[in-house]
Amino acid sequence: MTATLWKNPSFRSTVTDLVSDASLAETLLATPPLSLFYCGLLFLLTPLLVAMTSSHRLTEELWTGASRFVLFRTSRFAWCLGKFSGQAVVLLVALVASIPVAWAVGWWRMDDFPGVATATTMLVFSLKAWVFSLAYLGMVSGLSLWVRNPGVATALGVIGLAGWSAWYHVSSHYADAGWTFIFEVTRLFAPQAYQVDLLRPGWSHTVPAGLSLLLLGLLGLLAGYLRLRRRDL
Amino acid sequence: MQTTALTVRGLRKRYGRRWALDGLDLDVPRGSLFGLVGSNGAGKTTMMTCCAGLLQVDGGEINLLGSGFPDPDRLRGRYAILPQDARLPLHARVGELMFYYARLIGMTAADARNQIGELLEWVNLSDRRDAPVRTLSHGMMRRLTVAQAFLGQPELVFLDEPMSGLDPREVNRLRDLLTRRPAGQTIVISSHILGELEMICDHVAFIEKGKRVKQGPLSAMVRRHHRLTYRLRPGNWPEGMLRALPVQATWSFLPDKQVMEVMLDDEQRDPVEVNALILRVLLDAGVGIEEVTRGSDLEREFLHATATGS
Repeated sequence: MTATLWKNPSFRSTVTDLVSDASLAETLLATPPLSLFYCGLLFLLTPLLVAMTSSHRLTEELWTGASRFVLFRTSRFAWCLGKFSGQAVVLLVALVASIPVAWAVGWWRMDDFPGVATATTMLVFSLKAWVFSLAYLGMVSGLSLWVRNPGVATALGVIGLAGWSAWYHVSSHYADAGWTFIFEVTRLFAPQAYQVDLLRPGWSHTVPAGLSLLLLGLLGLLAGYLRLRRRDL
Repeated sequence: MQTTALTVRGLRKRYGRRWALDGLDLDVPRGSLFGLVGSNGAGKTTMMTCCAGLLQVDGGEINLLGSGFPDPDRLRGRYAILPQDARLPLHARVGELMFYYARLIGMTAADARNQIGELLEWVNLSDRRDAPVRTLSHGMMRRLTVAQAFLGQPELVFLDEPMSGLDPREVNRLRDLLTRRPAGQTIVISSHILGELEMICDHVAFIEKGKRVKQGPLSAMVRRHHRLTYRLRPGNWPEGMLRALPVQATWSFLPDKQVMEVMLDDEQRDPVEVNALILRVLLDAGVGIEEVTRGSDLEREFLHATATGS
């Protein structure tokens, strides 16, 4: 059934429309089907996972006072960076740990399952999804430092995620229409602007996209740090 | 070497419209065990957290260990605080958490492990080293928070209500640790149990409404060199003979309260010698002596100082 779907022109056309790039669509459609589904799910769900699980981490430590045992021992900047790095590592472990589970499902349920190729491409996609999520991680962490309540921080993270996505689509619409320069610029502050480049094969597109996403994340974190720097604990 | 571990000048901190600290001045001598005494909301906790760099100040100056405003980068491991109402991360394990704190101040892994062992033994938590913090009782958590403040033997330690939640045995242990601290280590401690402060502190400051009311060595604050109080049995007290003694003092006879107070003038000689003279007269007159107290007590002096605003 998967093979039939893969050859279906409508499906191929849908994938091409989704990535808005014919050559990238061909590259993606050349990967094992399970990897592609896995990739789609990762890029769709990882930002949400970040918003749901990471956005309240820093606020929680400030809320409970746990940070007061730390922030006379290290600077607030180092603490922010450390928390960001720690969350990033946990996220990476979670993404990589999901590979064997998804792979096992394919091995058990799919005919003509290309085990090695699927595992390899899943690993590559999970690493790319991780880099993609760093921008969201920085953004929700930064946002959370502006509020006191962990519940509010989570809500703000989810709202921020939705708002960011909506803003990207609005900006893209007007920018593509050649409407104004401002939309061209503002869409660059959305992670989705780098998603296609991140998915391309080869380093020439992936590395700049990855660095831009990391920079976005750090900018978000910096915005939060600017609040934390002058905040009572 | 600086003679003060902490100097505070005109410190101001506002919560909304209310000034929690309103021009507080404080000089904490290096190596002292310095007690902060004040009513609820007087500003003790705010002062400590400002000095530890956890609160932003709205005015004034702090000179911490001769290095100006508190800065964890510059003063890493040289000062520590036991915050009053902060909660330790519940998911962490006791030993791991202490190790994390120790590494943050730059201790080597080996030193950290050794010192954590000693501190956990001191707070009687050695057997809970691998236990998650969430499994500890309230008192155990309190002991752990006390222990973390002494990691790395900091030069200056702020202890905000450290006795709260401790059982008598642990209070005794803490008192023992504080009095046997390394030479030169300065402790600033607040507590509502003034008797405890009186037992361990050598310097005290009274704080009220965000200002220092009075500060000095404990002996001066409780007037140990100036005041003798006698609790006597009812009878014919030899008032005339006592007043005739060669003692420069002000006498108060309160027979209905069975109390006689002697306030020695500044130029008066040693109160021990004065006491010997007074006791001889009282014993010769056959007056029953129930108790002799030298100096006042912190509670009384605090109430007096804050009532008059002196």
